Amino acid sequence: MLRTPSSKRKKRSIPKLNLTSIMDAVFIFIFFLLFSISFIKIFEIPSDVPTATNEPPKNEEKPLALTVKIEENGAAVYQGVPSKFIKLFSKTPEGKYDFQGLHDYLITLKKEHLKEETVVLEPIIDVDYETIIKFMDTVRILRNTDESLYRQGKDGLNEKVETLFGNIVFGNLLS
Amino acid sequence: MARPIRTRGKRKKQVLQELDITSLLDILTILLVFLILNYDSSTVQISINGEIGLPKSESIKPNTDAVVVQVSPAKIWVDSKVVLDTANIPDNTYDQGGRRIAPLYDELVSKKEAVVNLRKNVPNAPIFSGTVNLVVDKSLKYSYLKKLLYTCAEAGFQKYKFVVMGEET
Repeated sequence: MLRTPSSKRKKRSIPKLNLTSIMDAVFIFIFFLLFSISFIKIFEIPSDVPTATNEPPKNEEKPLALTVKIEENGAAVYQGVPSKFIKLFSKTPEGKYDFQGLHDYLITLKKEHLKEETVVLEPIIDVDYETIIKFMDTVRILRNTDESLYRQGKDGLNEKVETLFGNIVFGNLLS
Repeated sequence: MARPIRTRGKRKKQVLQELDITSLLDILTILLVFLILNYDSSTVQISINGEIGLPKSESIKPNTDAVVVQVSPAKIWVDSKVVLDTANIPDNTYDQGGRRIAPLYDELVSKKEAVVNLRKNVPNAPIFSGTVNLVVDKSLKYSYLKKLLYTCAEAGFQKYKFVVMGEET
């Protein structure tokens, strides 16, 4: 059916949004972010001074007393009181420390001692600070690619274990 | 040429040219997302000396506000004040059998006393936490680090925070 001439469709003009105020806000926000941006991200690794006490342990469980000694030929793991040698992670053929092997072994230890948090780090040789930091990462951090570990929390519910052995103590500061 | 009578005296309305800001908005949105992702929410500011090369770490623990001890192979700073310069080492720099760095110890003790005295006079002042931020050059050896840690512990700073550079994991 033909339309009458008066019923011709009028072109609708699309109303344009007034973006002026939002643009002002975005510009201010950008300047604020530009001033607070940090291109180098710095973090921290905590560690405490070792302390000696005569008090008996609170629970009757035998302490793990985990010690990692950084030696010339690799990293040695000791356990128990008195300290008993458990395993040596020799250096790779390239002469580097086997951080991954040590990390995997510590995960198996953590599974058996889910509540244990302390590790004693004892560099026997004069290694550089960068290597010590790598060892601290190895014994401390549970990576996303590692197996998830759970332990019973205070309220009886399972809670995810966030760190491997997060409380690092240097064992030979006074020697 | 003269204008027709009908249009005489009437000014033509000037049509305002509107800018197309679509592409500008796209750029701004991308910039905004990038800046938000890199936004540093930490309130702690540590200015690291250019002579120090920080080691990289997988740690993602944010920094704590505390006394900052910076150590390069040549100098030691406490809160940006030089306390030891290897170019000019006095005779009695190391005491207690070479285990303690005397100038560092003295400066840390004065820092501790300042906080303790402030607390005595101002009840709302922060309590001495015994925390020290250690900004240490990655090339330094453990024998030197041990002296540093021992000195801090002797001065009453028993909580070490090793400042490291974050790395992509």
